[in-house]
Amino acid sequence: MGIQAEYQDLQPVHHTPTKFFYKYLWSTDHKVIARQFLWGGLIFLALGGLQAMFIRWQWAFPGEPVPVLGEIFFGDSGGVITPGHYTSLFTSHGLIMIFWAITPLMIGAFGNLTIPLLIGARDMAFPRLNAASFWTWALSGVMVLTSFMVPYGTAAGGWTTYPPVSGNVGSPGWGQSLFVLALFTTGTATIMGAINYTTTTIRLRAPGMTWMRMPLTVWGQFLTAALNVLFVPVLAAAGILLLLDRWFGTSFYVAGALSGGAAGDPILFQHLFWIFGHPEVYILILPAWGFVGDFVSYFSRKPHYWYKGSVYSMTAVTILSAVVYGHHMYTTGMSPLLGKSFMLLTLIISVPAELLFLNWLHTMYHGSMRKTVPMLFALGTIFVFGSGGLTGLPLATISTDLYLHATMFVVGHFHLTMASAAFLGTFGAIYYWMPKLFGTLANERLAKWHFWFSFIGLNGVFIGQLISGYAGQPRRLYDPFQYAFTEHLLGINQITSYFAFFLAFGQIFFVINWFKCVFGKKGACPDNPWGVGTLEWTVSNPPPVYNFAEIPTVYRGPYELSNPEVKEVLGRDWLGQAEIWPPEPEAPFEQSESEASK
Amino acid sequence: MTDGDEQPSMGTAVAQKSHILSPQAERSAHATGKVGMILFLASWAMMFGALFYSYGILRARAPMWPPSGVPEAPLVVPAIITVMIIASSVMLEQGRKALTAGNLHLFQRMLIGAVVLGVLFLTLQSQVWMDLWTAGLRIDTAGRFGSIFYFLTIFHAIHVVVGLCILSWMLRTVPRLDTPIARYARAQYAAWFWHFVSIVWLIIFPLVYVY
Repeated sequence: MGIQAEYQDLQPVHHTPTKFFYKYLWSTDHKVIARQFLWGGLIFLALGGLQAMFIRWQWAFPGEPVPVLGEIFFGDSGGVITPGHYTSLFTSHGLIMIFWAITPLMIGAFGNLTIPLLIGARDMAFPRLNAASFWTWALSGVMVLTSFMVPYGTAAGGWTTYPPVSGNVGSPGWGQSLFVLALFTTGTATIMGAINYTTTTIRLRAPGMTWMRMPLTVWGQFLTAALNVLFVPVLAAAGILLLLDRWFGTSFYVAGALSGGAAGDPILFQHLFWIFGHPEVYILILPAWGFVGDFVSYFSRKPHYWYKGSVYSMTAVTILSAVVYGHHMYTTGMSPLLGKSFMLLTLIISVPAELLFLNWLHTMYHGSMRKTVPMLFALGTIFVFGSGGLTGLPLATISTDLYLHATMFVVGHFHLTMASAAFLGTFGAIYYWMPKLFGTLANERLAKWHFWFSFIGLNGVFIGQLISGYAGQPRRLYDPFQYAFTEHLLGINQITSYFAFFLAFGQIFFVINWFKCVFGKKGACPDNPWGVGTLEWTVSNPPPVYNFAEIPTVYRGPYELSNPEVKEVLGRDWLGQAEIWPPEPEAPFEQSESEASK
Repeated sequence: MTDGDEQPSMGTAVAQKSHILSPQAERSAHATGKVGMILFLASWAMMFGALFYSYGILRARAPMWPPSGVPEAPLVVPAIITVMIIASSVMLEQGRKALTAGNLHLFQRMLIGAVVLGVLFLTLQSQVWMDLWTAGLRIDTAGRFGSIFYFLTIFHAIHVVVGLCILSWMLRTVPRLDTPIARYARAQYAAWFWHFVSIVWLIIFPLVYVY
């Protein structure tokens, strides 16, 4: 039996489901699950975005009633955001954005969509686990929404959930418990998905799809999944201990007067949280690096510069991300030797990251750039990630971090890297794979408006935060201008807030575009609109349930672009990964040879 | 487009519920399952790793360990149950070998032996908890020591219960599977989980009872 037949035997073609339940709800098709995650993630992204707007309103106009929306959301206080509302807002904004918006969008949706299609598999390795992963995530989402309706309100201990603020005394009631439980549940969903992605990438690559022929998108998703498998359980452990403290009176995190003499250790939570938390920030950026690495190559019509170098860099960052968590805890009284070690390791991360950057720039250098929508988003990602990365250096350095710790500078820094880069990367991916998702291309004009509004808005907001943070504005304050030394920062905060509202306004272009793509009349969409050679563009838009009628054999890497020989023979500047080259002897190839001999 | 049209036309087999894999594909599926199982156990190992790390931090930052006034933990009974859980893992491994050789009967007997040892483990462990509890090691008064002691042992015991359920289920389901590879695969996944639980105990035992 040939290897191809064996692959096909292992991945049998399943019937296309016809019943509503199996088609849309309990679907084991990775493309349907990707769309489910996409919808869920976008809804939560809108919710988290709305919360961000409320926070920005409070910082620009402290204590003034929120126009229009205030009556709906803060009716009990006449539209004014009270301190109670405010702490809940910034706490749940952070958690919702990370676990219920970026994770499902970037990993849930695009991990699911891209991995099997780009490596030539018919579905995930464990399709039912995949469906279970989505529904577990959805359950956790319901828990989050429920936590807003219980007495004492939702979690309000900051997104980091540090005890004692998140303990029984700091946050009484069910809101905090539900949120921690929801974190645990969504962590379970993430692990289920991550096991699936990793196994699929290891086991189900089509014949000939070697590790070094995988598109960088798959590399990004694979490394992300590996980090998720290994580090989300640490968050689960931290969450279990917190819940035990809250429910059963244990004293893991309780110290001092709260514990009645038999003390635990609140710093323990910070250790556990950041052992998970630091890999998590790379979990949220590695997929975007993958997208960017692919897009700069496709739309510069050039092979990715030193592809292997990019793969090694991403892998190095993945490994290093596991050993730098201490830089979040410089101010906890850590031993100076330990602090310096963490500082050194953290600064070393910038070397592979820098390499990756140089590779992207080299790829574009002398390329024939196409300013398509995904390319714009990729360039935007490079810019915001670059500025976010550079502002990370003073935070990794102990002497500067002691001043900048817990200021708006930190907020600006991690929003540039995690939020803006993830945001732009994800939307670039949405526009790029729209044909694979909904069988149509997005409207280019609207998408470009969306890009410019988002790009300018994101930069305005977070650079504004960097400036005010550098001037000394502490993060998380209800009224940041109550102190004499921050009074003068009202102006810059108002400008920042206007940028935020500008950013929010720009999302209207996406919403229109989205509904047009999903529900509107589907125009004719070319099979391969971007002219690239990866496997997903060899099947129809959207692909059938089984993806590949015949599992392809792969002959080369994903970036066979602008090869003059291919151009001469085939008349196009790209060559598919599964195309036989040179083509069967009969037609153009022989002609050109005979012409040459004349 | 009707459903018939959506199926590929080039003679690829369309899976039925009773799709029978070729031996190669079945081995391949087994390998995929193994990768998935390894990742799952790696994930779980990180969770336990985090808990041991917590133990280390709590202990290293405690002024005194164990704190004064807590009853001394017994050593003999925990040592006995340690031997028991190792023995159950060894039996399971013998059973797995028997299954490879095609001896289903011996496999079942070994599996029953492992389950019995697991149940004994739980019984004696509960005895240890009750003794300590009556001697005054309470969650609410013994602080971090009591918290981490009860948590590690109870959390492990929950895994033992889950492991016992899986093993009992194997007793029923493995003989009913059609092919030797499928049987072997199923038994192997279950055995791996049980070994994992044993290994975790081998770390917990010295941490909370000996050292």
